[in-house]
Amino acid sequence: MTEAVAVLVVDDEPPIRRFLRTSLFAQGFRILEAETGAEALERLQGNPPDVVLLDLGLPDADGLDIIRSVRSHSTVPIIVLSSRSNEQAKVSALNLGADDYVTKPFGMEELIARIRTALRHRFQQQGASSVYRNGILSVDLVRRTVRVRGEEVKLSRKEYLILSLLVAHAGKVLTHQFIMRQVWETPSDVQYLRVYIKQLRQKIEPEPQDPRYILTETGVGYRLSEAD
Amino acid sequence: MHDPLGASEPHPRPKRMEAQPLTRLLPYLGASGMTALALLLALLIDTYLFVANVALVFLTSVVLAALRWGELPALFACALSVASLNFFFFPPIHDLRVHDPENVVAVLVFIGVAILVGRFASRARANARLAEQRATVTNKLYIFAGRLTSVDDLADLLSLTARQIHEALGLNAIVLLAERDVLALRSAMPPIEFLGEVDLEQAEQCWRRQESSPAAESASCHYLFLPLRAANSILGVVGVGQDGQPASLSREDLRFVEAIADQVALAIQRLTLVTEVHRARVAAETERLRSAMLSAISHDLKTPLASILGAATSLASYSSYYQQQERDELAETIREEAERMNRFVANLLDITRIESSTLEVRQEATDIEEVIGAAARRARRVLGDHRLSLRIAPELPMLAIDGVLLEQVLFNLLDNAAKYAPPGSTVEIEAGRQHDRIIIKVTDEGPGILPQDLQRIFEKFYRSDRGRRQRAGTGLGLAICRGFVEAMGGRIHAGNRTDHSGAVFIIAFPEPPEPLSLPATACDDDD
Repeated sequence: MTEAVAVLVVDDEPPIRRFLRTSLFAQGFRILEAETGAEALERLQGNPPDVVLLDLGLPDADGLDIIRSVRSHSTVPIIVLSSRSNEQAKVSALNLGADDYVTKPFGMEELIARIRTALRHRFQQQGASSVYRNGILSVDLVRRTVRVRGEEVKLSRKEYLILSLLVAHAGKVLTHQFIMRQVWETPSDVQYLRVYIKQLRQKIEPEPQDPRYILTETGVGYRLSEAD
Repeated sequence: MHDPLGASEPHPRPKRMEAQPLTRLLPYLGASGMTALALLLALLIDTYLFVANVALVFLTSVVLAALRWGELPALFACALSVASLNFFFFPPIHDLRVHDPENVVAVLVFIGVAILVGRFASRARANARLAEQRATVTNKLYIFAGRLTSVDDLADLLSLTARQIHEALGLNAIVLLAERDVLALRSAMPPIEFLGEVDLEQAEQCWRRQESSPAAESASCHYLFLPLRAANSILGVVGVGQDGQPASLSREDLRFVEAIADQVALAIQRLTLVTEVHRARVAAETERLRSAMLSAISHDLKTPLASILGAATSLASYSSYYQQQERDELAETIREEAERMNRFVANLLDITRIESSTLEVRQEATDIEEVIGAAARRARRVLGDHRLSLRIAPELPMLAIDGVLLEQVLFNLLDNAAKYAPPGSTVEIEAGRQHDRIIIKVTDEGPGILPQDLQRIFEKFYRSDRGRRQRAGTGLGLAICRGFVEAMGGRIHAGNRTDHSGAVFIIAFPEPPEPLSLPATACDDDD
């Protein structure tokens, strides 16, 4: 990469911006900062960043409105910084087009992992790797095969649809609503999805009760753990 | 005489004025009938048995009239009897004049005996009725007293009082209570909006003088007031009125109202005492909670803060003195203590959400197995060296609960187990069906829960002695568990294992009436 990846940090708390600036800079990112929603939208106009970290609780604007207006003209990855015990806000942000979220307070490992996942998906949109390998699980999206410990596993059509969706967004959280919209033509109840996920886990997880691949984000959705 | 027992119907009884002509005439009609009967009998006796002196037959009718209707109707019967004797039996027959001196004496004796006997009989009758009335009044008071003891609200008590007086005596009843040296209307039957100035003045006089207001002192006063006398003060007054005038009560009725007033005064005192005791208990409990909260907050915030500040300043000032390993250790301290503080703050927020009833429960078809898995993953760091074993029955139905809240409950229970059970021991989550409930059990191999703590372990800021000695949490985790589980319509219990030392926490949800899970066909596919 010739130029460092630019991260726009949108947060009204100076200490948060300061530690993000320091840590992300040390990780080789270029940092842009915005204190308010208006400033953030301005920053996004000229020389747009590669990824946006957006605090949902800004003083001047609703974070959800910012996501909506960014998404009207840009596909830049947005990672939401949200407070705890507000799963509804996370779901709304994701459904409006945010790519992922971290819950405040968060550790840097988690944030860096989310940023890297978001960037990988952004840069890999064309010619994305069609094979997912993680531990004993491998999924080939071109051959449409799923193997556990090298043995092919038979999945039903919908099970495969769900798994391929998770593989295509590996490492990213997918809301229940997003998955259901992709898999079912008609709106249906979340419990159908849960049943399919349970069956998928029975087939691909070494310990379905303590899953390693298809992780539950309670109240939000599912996340396939990053490939090795 | 007026009779409290006649008026136990809830509606006001008919006004006296209208009822009087008929009621007053009836005894005399009866006495006349009785005398007519005696006359008939005497004529029969005279005709067929030739017994000359039939005066005794008439005397009997006088006695019966006295027993039945009292003295005046008896005298009336006596007069009729004398007239009949004279007219039908004493010569000259069919003439009211008396010629024979012997018969004059007989008439006089008859009158004398009739008056005497009549008086005795009517007195006996009055006594019997009085006794009967007293028994009824006593019984009424007894029932009223019983009702009073079951009332635990002052307003209810006062309205019951007014209603009782109104129903028993057909009077307008009001109750005024003194509060901070001011007398205020508290209840009235039939209801009235406010009390006139004159009435209020009379009531205050009664209250200050501590004696019943003299009846009809003021023309515009509507009530007779009686004090509500407690052991060492007058709590208020009871007012009784009728037809817009102070009630003029018979001695019996007055005694009845006074007895009610005494009982009400006692009941008010009892209630006030109960309220005060309750208030004191609440105040003490609030105080206990406040001090527990202060000590918990200061301890649980300051301890990690001290570690964080210490480690951070060490890194800031003396970084160059340390080896990499020491720097890592300081950083790890900061991380662990910040996480601890984060859990504590999160707990404070959760308990606040529960107590301020701002807790939103999203009831949604939830797979318990999935939530247990998520909680287990989240708790991996706090569980450290503890082994976690999951035993989840297959085919559990989905429950309409809030997965986020359940995950927090399970996390708190795992966190709790990690604190008390020794490292290397096993913590187990078991889920299954028991009768018509879905059960989630969290067991550990720690020392278990002391019997005296079992009851209180879910109380906010309650820390067992054991918990205090070990480096345990805030006393919020389990209170949150209970708050969350109950908000979702479940129950949580704590106990000790029987097969091993260790605690067991059991969460139970009612099994959904219809299984939420899908029919098998929906699962194996598909379009």
